[in-house]
Amino acid sequence: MRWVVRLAVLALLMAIPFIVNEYRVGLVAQILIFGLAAASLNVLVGVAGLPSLGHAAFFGVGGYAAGLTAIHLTQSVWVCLIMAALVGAVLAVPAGLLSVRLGGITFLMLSLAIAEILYSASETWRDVTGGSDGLSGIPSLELFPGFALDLVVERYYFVVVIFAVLYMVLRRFVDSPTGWSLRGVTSNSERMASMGYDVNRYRFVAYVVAGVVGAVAGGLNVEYSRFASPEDLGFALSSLLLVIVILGGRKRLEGAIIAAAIIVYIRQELSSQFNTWEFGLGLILVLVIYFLPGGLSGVRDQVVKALARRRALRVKTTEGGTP
Amino acid sequence: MSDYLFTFVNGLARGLLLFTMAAGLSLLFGVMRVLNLAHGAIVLAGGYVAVTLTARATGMGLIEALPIALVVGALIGTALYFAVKPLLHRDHLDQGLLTLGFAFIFADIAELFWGTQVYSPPPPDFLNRSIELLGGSYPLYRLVVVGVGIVIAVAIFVVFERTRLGAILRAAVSDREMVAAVGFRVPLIMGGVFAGASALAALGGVIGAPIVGVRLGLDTETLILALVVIVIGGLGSLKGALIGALLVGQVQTLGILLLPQASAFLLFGVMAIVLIFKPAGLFGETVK
Amino acid sequence: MTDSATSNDALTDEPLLRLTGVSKVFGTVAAVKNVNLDVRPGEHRALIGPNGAGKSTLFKLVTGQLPPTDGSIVFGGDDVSGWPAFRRARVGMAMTFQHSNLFDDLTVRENVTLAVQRQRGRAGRVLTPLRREREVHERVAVLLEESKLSVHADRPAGALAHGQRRRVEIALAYATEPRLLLLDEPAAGMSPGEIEDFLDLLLSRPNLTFVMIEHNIDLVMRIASSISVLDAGEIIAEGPPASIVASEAVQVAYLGSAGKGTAQ
Repeated sequence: MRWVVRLAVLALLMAIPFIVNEYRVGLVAQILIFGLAAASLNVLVGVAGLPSLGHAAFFGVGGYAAGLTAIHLTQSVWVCLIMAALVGAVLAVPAGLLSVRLGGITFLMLSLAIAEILYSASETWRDVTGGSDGLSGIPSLELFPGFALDLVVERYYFVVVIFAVLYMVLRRFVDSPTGWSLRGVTSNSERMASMGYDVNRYRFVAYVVAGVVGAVAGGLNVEYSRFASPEDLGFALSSLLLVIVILGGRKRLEGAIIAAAIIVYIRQELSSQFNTWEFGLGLILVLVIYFLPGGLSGVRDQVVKALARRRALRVKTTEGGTP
Repeated sequence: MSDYLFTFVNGLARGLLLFTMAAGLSLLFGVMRVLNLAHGAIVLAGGYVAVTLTARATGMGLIEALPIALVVGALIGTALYFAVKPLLHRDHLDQGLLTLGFAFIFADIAELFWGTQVYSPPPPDFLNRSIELLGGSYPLYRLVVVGVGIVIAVAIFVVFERTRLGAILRAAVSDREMVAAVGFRVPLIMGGVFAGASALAALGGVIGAPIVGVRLGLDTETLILALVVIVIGGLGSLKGALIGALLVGQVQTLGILLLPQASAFLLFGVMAIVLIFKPAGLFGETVK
Repeated sequence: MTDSATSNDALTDEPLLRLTGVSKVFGTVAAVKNVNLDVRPGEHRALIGPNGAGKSTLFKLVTGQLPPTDGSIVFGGDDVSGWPAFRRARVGMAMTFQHSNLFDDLTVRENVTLAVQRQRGRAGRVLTPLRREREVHERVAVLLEESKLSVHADRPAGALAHGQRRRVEIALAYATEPRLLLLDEPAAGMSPGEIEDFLDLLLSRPNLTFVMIEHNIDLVMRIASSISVLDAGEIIAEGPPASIVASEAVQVAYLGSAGKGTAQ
């Protein structure tokens, strides 16, 4: 069943370029890229219980790493993405060591501060980053020497493939013993320690995994859009990613993808009509916090539970028992 | 030499302004465990109050703006309190995110009224000049900001350390259940802290308006600086917020003068060093 | 790091746990003063004393939740004084908390699974799904059966009754295959029936060494092989149950103040 759904989604994604125009293909690519970044953030926020308001730090750093590699070193898309992952790890290791032992609100503030510092660094280091104009002149990346990903469709398919692979990696991670250990740490870290778990080590692993995947999502964004700017590191993107996670529901990874689709679509519609959409983002956040504390996957879980209860009730009544 | 002195005074002015803004944020967290991510938006609202009133060219705009901003801030704070109240039993992240949502909504509404331009409302006429200082010329208004900042800081500490209200607040920071158990009217205290913290933030927005430039984006910038301040100082500690604010003020001015290339990392460096040695901040308690 | 089940604790006469001159000072208050305590393998030690005597603090020093101000704690030959709690747990120290402290939002099965996967050295695996760790799940099923929790396996731990939660606590401790189990007021708040179920489970491993803080003196007399009495942070008496009950110091410090009706 799980695999039927997965293959159906993959088939749909593969068919997208045949169904909609190039502009909409770009929107779907953006959904997948933001969805991947949000899923990696969900590992941190939902699974490991570490609320980050600075995940764009990894997204942006990965983007710059991929872009600068393409400009100065090689156009190989593989090298670019690996560089994005490496730089993501280089950031995640010290930042993680510093912040995972803090936990809670201090963690959130620190995550915000780290992203903000990288944001201003990207504006200040004009020689390297192009400052606030962004990093332009990124060439098309090459799948292998001589085959550049020039066309929208080619770039889109590459996004789909990397998205599918990394989403599965995250899925595996979340379902693994380590993923469950992280749920335990989130639920009751004192108890975990009393059972022999080095709590901060698990938090650190989650931090690095989330950071590296977030950085690759940023690299993927540069592969698709051939552009990186300080905005990729900014507070607006960090909050956007966090809103996607909250709307999707902290408990489930797939919620982040669906929420990314909704948010990207709404952003698109509002921006084109009103030139701004922060109002919409804020409203979504407020409504979700008040009325959907578990996000979309919380709704899903409640529906499933209600159905199961009705079924159980029906079985009981047919057996002639009293409820 | 006077360069350094002026930079130091600039940093002092910034630091004291920052304390006016961060003190409320820290206290709000200490008393209620609510992280108010709309705090920067309230500072900006204060700034816009100043912008609107100085536009009338009475020569006194900024001074008229002070009481109005206090009221506006207190009203916003009260409204926020009632908005957050139903969520107080929930995860702290939820409360923070709710206020973040309000901050986004505010930003768009503000853009509707004031656009995206940068305003620098003039100081009141009688303060709008430079004075001779150690062979250089220095804007009088900045010195006034330092003076007013010191007055506000002293007032905050007097209220916190010397009054009955302050005693209740201090007790609430260290043990909230106890305060509830003793029978104080917790909702009133919490609502009051929200209103007071927000009034202070708006006040900071007015006083700082001629110096920092009122614009969209100031909200986020201020919020982040204030968060850095209270992380360095320790959540819920006013003394920590003061030390943190003065430190950040100097890092932002003296640091840029001395190490312009590394200025972005200086702030981070200071915070990282503090957190490595004191994970709960300079004056924070180690309990979560 | 020695994982425990195979060790030969019972064959030696060395103490499994030795506290030497252990003290804990909070500010100016000494909660635990110069405590010396030996627990031999197989012992069922009860730690009694009036409220505020420092029993729970002493426990936290042993498990590593609090750092001692002074003194040394040796467990199974290792000086664990400076070790964090998780490291002590790994060499075979387990505990149950005074107020049961479970993963309330996870099911009972998931609770126990977390303990088992750690003990089996699987907890750090990152890319194989937990559901495929058959060995872990088999062990979980045995533990659930043993603690009579199988019927509740798929309920969230937060939804269980008090006595059931206590049994989950024990199941979590057993899952780590401990050499020493520290029980902080395990019977508090239990009905007599729940206490019997609990004792069945606790005594189902008769060779397990445990130290138990308990206020229920009848219970202590039933299962303790020796008793230490703590008063105002100091050990004031130690010995087999019968001699402790007879001891005058204990009657004054503890039984008297607990209003047991012993004549003054």
